[in-house]
Amino acid sequence: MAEYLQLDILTPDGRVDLRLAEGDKSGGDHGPIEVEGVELPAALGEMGVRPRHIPFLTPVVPGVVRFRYEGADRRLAVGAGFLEVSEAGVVTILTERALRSWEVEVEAARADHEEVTSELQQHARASIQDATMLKLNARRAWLDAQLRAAQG
Amino acid sequence: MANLKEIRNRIGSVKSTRKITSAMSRIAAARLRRAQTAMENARQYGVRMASIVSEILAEIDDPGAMHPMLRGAVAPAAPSHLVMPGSDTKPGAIGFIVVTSERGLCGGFNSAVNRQVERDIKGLREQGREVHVITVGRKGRAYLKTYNQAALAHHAAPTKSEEVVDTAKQVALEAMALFEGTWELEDTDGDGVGDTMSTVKVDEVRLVFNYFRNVITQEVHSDKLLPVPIPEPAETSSGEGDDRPDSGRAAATHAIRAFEPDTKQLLDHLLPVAVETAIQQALYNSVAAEVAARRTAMDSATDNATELIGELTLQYNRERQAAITSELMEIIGGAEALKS
Repeated sequence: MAEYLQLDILTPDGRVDLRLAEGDKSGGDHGPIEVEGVELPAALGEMGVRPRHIPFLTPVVPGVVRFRYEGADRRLAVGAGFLEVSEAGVVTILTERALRSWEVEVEAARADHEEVTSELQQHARASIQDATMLKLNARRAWLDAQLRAAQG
Repeated sequence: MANLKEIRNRIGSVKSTRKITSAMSRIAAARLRRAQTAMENARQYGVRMASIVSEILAEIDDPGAMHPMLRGAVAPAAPSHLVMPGSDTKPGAIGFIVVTSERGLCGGFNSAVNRQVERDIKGLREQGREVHVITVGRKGRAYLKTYNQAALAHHAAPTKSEEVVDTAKQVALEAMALFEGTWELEDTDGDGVGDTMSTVKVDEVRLVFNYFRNVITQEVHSDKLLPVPIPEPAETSSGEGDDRPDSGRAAATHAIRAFEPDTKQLLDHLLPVAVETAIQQALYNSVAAEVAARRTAMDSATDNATELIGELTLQYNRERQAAITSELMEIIGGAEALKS
């Protein structure tokens, strides 16, 4: 039998219930789940974590978290945050927000995405450090993450 | 009789007040559960974030030099090479973030924060320091105006948890701008051209809010937000009481851990998030504390109204009996007079 690691995703809204499958009502059983591995968007690029990873800490950028649970591939869009791997093999993702793939409102996200993109083009000449640019880029990254999570 | 009618009217008005206060107390009780759950959910995140921050800061030998947001965090005062050359701001300007509510009728909730802030500001002004304030919630701004402290920025107090996250993000950006000295005052004549932008810079940002200890106790906390406080190693191992039960655990596990990218870049990501999280926690606490304070206040207002109605009813009955008695006396007196 394969080894497992514990996966836990925390947001300011609380712990994300990872057991939930599409269409389920939120159940009572919260807490970390056991998975064989998880892929996530770290600041230095996509990375995978498997059991017996060294204790580790790195920033997470908006993107898609992938893992397999109960025989199904699961995807979550996450915002910026941090990944923490503890010695005990607990993988904690602290992120400002998270959405399961089926919770993404694809149409709305796509419309927003187009809007933000066109706004960005208007500001094309602005410095990349410009406050509005930063804000728009952050918004676009989050919308990108949602769309990618929804489409797989 | 005029007096009887007066009492009857008063009873009527107290009764309708009681209806309002008891409705408000029930609404607050219903909201309290939700606010409390939101706060407890957020606390997990906050505690974890705080433990990561303290873990990394514990690794660093010279935090003050490591990152601008840690500058001045270590007492005693920063050595001369850290003071910005040619900085024209008066030494020791202090920034405040004041978290209050949008609406009143919640007991001492707002006035407790306001009193604390007023005391602090008065003290600082006497020392000749400048004070800059960012307010969250209408009540705080209104009070500050009464002693001529204009708010640099104002936000509506959040009520829903999605709003908390967004508001915290904005406030955090403003607080960091204030601390780093990139805050630009809006031009006063409003034409937007040809003005020299003056910047404001503070050496410290404090966060004043109501901490939700439990349903009946709220405490005003005045926490140092920036520079990001560096935990004492001794404190981390002993735990900081009920606030951060995880810090002891963090100290135990920090022995070997890989950071990627290096510590410096990690701090660039981590510190703004840490500031934001601290503000988030304060807002969640404040929202829950407001609802709890309102419930307590409205509960006791309802009790008072009930008591008052009892007293007034007693008085009303007594007056009515007195009126009847005196009327009877008059009739009997008249009959007696006719008899004789």
